[in-house]
Amino acid sequence: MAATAGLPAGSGGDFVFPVFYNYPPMFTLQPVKESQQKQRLLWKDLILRYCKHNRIHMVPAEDADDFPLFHNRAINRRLSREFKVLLLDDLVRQGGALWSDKSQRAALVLWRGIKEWADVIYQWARGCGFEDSVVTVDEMQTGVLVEGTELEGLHREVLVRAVKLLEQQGKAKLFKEAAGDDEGVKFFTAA
Amino acid sequence: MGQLVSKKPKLEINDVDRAVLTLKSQVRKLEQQRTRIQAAIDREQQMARELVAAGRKDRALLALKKRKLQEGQAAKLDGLLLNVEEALGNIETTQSQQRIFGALKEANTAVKQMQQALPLEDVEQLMQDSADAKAYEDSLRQLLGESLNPAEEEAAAAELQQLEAQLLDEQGMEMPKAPTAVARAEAAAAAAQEQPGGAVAAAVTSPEEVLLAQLPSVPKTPVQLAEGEPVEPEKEPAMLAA
Repeated sequence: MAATAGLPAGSGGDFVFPVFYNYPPMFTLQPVKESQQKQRLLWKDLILRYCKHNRIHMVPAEDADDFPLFHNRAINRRLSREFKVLLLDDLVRQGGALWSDKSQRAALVLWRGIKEWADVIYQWARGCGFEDSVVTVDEMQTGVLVEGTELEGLHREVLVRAVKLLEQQGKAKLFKEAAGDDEGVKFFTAA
Repeated sequence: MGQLVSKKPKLEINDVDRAVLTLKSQVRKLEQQRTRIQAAIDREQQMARELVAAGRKDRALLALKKRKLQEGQAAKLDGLLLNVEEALGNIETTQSQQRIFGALKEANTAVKQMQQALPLEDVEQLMQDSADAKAYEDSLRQLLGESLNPAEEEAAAAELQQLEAQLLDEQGMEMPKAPTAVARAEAAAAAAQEQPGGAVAAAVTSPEEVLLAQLPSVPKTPVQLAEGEPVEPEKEPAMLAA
């Protein structure tokens, strides 16, 4: 999985961290059930807001990964792998994230639901006049067609899932090239 | 969810779509290759510069030759890219042409269907019917008009006589007041302009008035001549005879 949290240097500078982010106890899993629940809720919300603000789709959960959110240098505290997995698992269970693989090395954070992304994609396609025509998945991620739009840099997995939802709605179809290494999407006029 | 799947419309991917995707895929690969070659060109250029700086002319020349080679390849790639883009454009144009042709064909069929629904004979029949109706109405009006005419005509004739009499009376009263023919004619013309309805009356009266106004002046000339020169009246009968 490429592009895991490829956070550009200096980004997130204008993100306002909540006050609890500077409390060292927040970086260790609380033993008391109520406080732990509260703690997990706060973190979950923070992850979603942080990723949305910085347009991050993939959040790594490995020990070696130094995801800026999970490492508060100011107070020299970082989340353990267990804690990260627990938090991301919470998100996955409520539909706010997807594990990118079975070993839970990283999770796709859906700060915008698949359905919302599907709407964004379809609106974009309509706006570009792509009804009844073919666009490659690559073109929907990078390049002149999506420059400056919300789709730019969207994670392929999220994109493919959203397109599959559009497929169910009869608005698009994902298909593969004969040689098999490029995927394309054909958009349809919604009935 | 099952409901969603069951009413899922047909999403067909045809050969054209596949061809477009393949072409677009080729574009991507060509662009990748182009980037790679550009990097190689830049690298050889850099190397040549360094070698020249180091005084190794033969190696620098080699690097420059390599760069030339790469540049040639890049140009070829650009040509290919252009071709592929052109093919993509052609597909799109042909597709839209097909769509337009289809639409035109449909429109044509629709027009034909509508025309079939309205046969020429029916139209002819309709026109004939309306002509018949008009003829019937005309004859009806004529019949009714004839039955009305005698009384109407009598009344109209009586009115005309009355109007003529009235007109003559007015002229007889106004006559002495008219000093010159020109003034009368002017007055008549002004009256005609003022009342368009009365134009006919004015047209009828004016020649008469002119004659009446001129009449008195006719005998004046011979009288004056007779008074001034006695020789002339003798000549006059000769002139009249001539």
